Amino acid sequence: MTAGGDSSSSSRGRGGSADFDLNLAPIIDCFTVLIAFLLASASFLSIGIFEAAIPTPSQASSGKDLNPTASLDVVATLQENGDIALTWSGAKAGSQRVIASDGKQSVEAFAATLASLKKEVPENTPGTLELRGSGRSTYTDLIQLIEASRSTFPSVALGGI
Amino acid sequence: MKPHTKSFLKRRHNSSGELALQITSMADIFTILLIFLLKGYATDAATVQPSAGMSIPAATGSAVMKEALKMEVTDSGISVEGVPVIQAANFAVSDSDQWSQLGAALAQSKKKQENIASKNTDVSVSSRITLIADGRAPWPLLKEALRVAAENGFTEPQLAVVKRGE
Repeated sequence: MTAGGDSSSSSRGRGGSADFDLNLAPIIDCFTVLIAFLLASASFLSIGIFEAAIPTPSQASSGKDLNPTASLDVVATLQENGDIALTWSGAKAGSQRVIASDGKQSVEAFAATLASLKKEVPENTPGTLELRGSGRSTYTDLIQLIEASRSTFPSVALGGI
Repeated sequence: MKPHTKSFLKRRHNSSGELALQITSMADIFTILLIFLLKGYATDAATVQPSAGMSIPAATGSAVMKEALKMEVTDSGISVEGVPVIQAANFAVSDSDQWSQLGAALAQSKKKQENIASKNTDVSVSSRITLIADGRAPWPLLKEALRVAAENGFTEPQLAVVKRGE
């Protein structure tokens, strides 16, 4: 590539001519290599995360002894048939089963149950959700449930570990 | 930039008939591209390069990934920081003794963190671990991997997902 290299070298020497052309060819070469390298190493997949916790036996015992009625603790256990067994304690106690639809877990019904449960306790009641998988459940199933419960239960623990 | 006063034809052909390519605008484009790519490179807090053929589930409302030890679960096994530790066939671990190898790898990573933290007060030992799993990975396999991680001090898993448009 040439970009007025000859004229620039001659005019630079004399200093009298105002027609000065910068030789851009080596700069373009460097840029091409750099851009190719950056494009090759760029990650076009945008990865996010859901934070979870693994409750240890000491945490489980110390956390609940202080004021057991101050928080709403929900345990969601995925069943082999796709149902979700919900049990809750603390500020309110009870249980419910979210029935699967077409053999798959009903994420919408799960989210609706958690939302209605949260409405039944005072507004600022802290809540924890513990998820327990089954032998048939997958990573996608867990992620779907965490995503659905995010608005009502931001703090999620993975139980049964 | 110097304003171009010459005509288009004059610019492309000098008096000797030699073709001179006008690359000033190309240099401008390349500069903008380079800045854009470098900016994207610099703002990525943490990078993840999933293995080929792996399908990470997509989700909305996920948080920004924080730098942590990476544990990848695929149908062919489990790797820690890109190093294969457990071999599996279609998510089935044939030899249960391999779990101790995962424990050893995680313990080594923890020890490395502690060594760095003891020498540099700005660095703290983290209990975070990023779990990058295939969407089809069964819960029993994940549970076992997380159990071994928790035993070695990694009690705060970050579950990786592909960000879906919100």
